[in-house]
Amino acid sequence: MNDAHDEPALDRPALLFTDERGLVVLMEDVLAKTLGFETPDGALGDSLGSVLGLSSNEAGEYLSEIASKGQMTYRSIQAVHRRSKDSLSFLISGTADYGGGRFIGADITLTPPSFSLPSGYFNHRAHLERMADMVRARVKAGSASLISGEKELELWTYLAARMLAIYVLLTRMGGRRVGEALEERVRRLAEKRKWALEMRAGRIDLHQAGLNPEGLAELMKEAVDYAIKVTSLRLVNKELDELDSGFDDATLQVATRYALRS
Amino acid sequence: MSSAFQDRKNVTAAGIALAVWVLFTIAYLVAPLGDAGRPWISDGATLASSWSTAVLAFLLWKGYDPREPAKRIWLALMIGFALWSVGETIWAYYDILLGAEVPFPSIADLAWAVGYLPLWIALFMRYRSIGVRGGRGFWAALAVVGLIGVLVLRYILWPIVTYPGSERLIEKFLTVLYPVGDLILLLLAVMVSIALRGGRLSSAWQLIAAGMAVLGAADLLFVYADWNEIYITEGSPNLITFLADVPYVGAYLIIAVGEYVQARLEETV
Repeated sequence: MNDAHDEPALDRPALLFTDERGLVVLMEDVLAKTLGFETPDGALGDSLGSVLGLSSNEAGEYLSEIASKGQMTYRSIQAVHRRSKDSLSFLISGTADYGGGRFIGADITLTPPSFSLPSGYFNHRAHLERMADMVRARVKAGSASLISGEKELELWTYLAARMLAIYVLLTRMGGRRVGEALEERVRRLAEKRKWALEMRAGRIDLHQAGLNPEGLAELMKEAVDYAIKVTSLRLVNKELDELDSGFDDATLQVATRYALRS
Repeated sequence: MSSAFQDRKNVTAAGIALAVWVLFTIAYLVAPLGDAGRPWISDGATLASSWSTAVLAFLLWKGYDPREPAKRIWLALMIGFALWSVGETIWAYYDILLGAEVPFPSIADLAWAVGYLPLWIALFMRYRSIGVRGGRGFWAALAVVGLIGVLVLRYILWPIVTYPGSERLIEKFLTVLYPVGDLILLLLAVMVSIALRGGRLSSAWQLIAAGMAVLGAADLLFVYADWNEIYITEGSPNLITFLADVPYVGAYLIIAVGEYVQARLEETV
C-alpha cells in the first residue's frame, strides 16, 4: 500500500541498478519519485538498503543471493518513503549482471504487489530492453520531442539508451567517478559543437532540436571510445549487443546507416 | 580488493601464491639443502614468480584487440616485466652457476634499470586512459608517496649519494634509481586504483599497487643493507637480509595475482 499520497504510486515494475557493492548507479525516475527523492540523481551512490529504507542486513541478503545464484525471485518488502517515512509495499526481485563472467552489479526490479511479471523477465537482456523503453517514454515526454518524425525520434531514443547502458557499465566497472568522467566528456563535446544537451546520471537531455545524425554519431563514438579505453572492446560490445535486442530491425538498420552502431 | 575474491578461481590463484610464498619462506629459513642450497631456493622462487608476471602480462596483451588502448598498455607491462625477469635470470646465473659474487653493476642491472621505463609508461598510459581528474584520494596518495620519498631520500639515499668514497657514478645512480623507480611505480599504480575506486576493475590494480609497494620496501631494505655491508649473500641470513629477500618474492606473487584477477575479468584465462 502506498501511504505517501503526495507521490505517484507505482503502477508497473520499476528498475534500479546497483554496482557490485550494492550502491545505486541508476534508478528509474518514477521509482525515485515514489520513494520520495527530489530527483533520480538523489539516490546515486547510496546503498540499496538506505534507498529502500531496509536494514543493511536485509539488503545485503538480497544482494548476496543475486550475486551467488544469478537471480532472486519475488520477495515481499516494506520500503520506507524517504520524507514521510510511510511504509510502501513492493515485491523485490533481481538478476546479476556479469562483466567478463564476473558479477559487476544487480538489476533490481520493484513491482507493485498486484502486478505480475511476464515469464522470462529475469535476465539482464530483458532489463536492457526495459531500459530502452524507459528512455523511449522519457524522450517522448520530454523536450526532445521537438525532433521531427518518428524515425528521428527512434534514432534519438536508440542513442540515449546506448549512452545510459554505457554509463551503467562504466559505473559498475570503473566506479562512480568514471561515470562522471563520461558526463564531463559529453559536456565538453556539446560545448565545443554548441549542442544544447547535457548528460546527468547517465541520462541525455536534449534541450532543443537540431542535433543531426552526424552529431549523434560523434556523440556515440565519444562515449564508446571512452568505454573501451576504461573497460574493453569485448565488454562494451557485449553490453551494447544485448541492448540492441530491445530495438526492432528497422531502427537498427537506420542506426547502422548513421554510424550509431557498427 | 575483497570483491576480487568473490570469484573462486581468484581465491585459488591467491591461495596458490600464498602457499608458494609460505613454502619458500620456510625453505629459506630452514635451508633443507644446507646453506649451499639456499641460493637455489631463493633464486628459483624469484625466477618463477618474476616470470609469472611476464607470462600473465603476455596473456593479457594477447587477449586484447589491436584497436584497444589496453593492447599497448599490456605490451609495455609485458616488456617491463620480461626485462625484470631477464635481470633476475642473469642474477641467478651469476649467483648459482658461476658461484661468484655478482658484479655491480652487471648486465642484470641494465635489464632491471631499462625495465622501469616501459612499466612507468604503461601505468601512466593506464591512468590517462581512465581520464578521471585528481580528487582528494589522488592528492592524499601523492602526499603520502611524496612524504615517503622525502624520508627515503633524506635518511637512506642522501648519505649514499654524498658519501665521499670511491663509488663510481654509475653505482650511485643505480643505487638511487631502484628505490626512486619503485616509488614512481607505486605512485602510478595507486593513481590507477584510486581512479577506478568503487568499480570492479579496481581490485586488480589495488593488488598490483600492493605488489609495487612491497617490492619498493624490499628494494629499499636491500639498498640500505648492501650499502651498510650487512646484506649477507652466503651462509645463514640475518634479519635484514631475510626482510629484503622474502618480501621480494612475495611482491612478484602479489603482482601476478593482480594480473590474474585482471585476466579473469577480461576472460583471458
